[in-house]
Amino acid sequence: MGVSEPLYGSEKFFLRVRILAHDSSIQCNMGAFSRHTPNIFLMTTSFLYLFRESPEEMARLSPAELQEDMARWMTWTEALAQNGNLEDGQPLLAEGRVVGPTFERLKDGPYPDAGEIVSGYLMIRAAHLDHATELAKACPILHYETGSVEIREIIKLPNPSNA
Amino acid sequence: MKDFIYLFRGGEADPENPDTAPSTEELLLWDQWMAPLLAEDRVMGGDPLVPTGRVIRGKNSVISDGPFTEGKEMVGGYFLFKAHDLKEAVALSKNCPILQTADGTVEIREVHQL
Repeated sequence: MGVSEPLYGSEKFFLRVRILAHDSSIQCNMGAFSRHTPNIFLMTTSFLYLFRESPEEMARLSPAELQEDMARWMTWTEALAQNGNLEDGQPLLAEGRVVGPTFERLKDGPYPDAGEIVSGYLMIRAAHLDHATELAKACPILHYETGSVEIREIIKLPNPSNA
Repeated sequence: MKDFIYLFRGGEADPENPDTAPSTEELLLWDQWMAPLLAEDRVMGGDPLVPTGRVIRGKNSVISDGPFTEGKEMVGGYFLFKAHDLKEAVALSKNCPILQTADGTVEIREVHQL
């Protein structure tokens, strides 16, 4: 097989999956055909999930509830990884600092977003914004009243470290 | 060294049109700021974000187009890098071009390595 030939199937097949991937009216359930199709090729766009929650609500959780929470995150992120969606992501420590114009120290701690703080991030690959939204619906942070996921497309600049 | 993230907010040259492409001068300032960080092999990644997106909120998973926050409150980009501690991570932001704008801020947070 020549190097220029696609790894799976014909070019025609690829053209078809690209069209499917860009038609946002199609419900995206990539998992349904993940075994036999190279769905990684559908997911050409990177998105950033920003998780927010209120520290007060999270502080009320019992150790057992925290353990359940952790298990839900494991299940969700493992599914994302298995389907080829997951690129990177970690929770953030609660401490931090906010600096403003001319390096002015504005706040010790996280940026105060109306009582909620960014508690973690995830980078995922998806076909388009609707697909990224669909994948975020199962996020365990939505188990909580103050929990939210912000879904933003990443503008991929040429990486200067590759120059 | 530990991993840190910068979350950039504000600092738009034209807040009414946040997707206006940055000028060459602006991009050069970012390159200048980043050069020593790259040379010290601290940079793990970072990019701007498309200004529109979605937010899913709460137990009822209400989906809205967002973020609905004011321009200066909206996260416009992120930067992942390595530093010895929070103090050094803060110091490295000193010459970041966003702090030379009227309303740009940098939130500095340590990544929790699991």
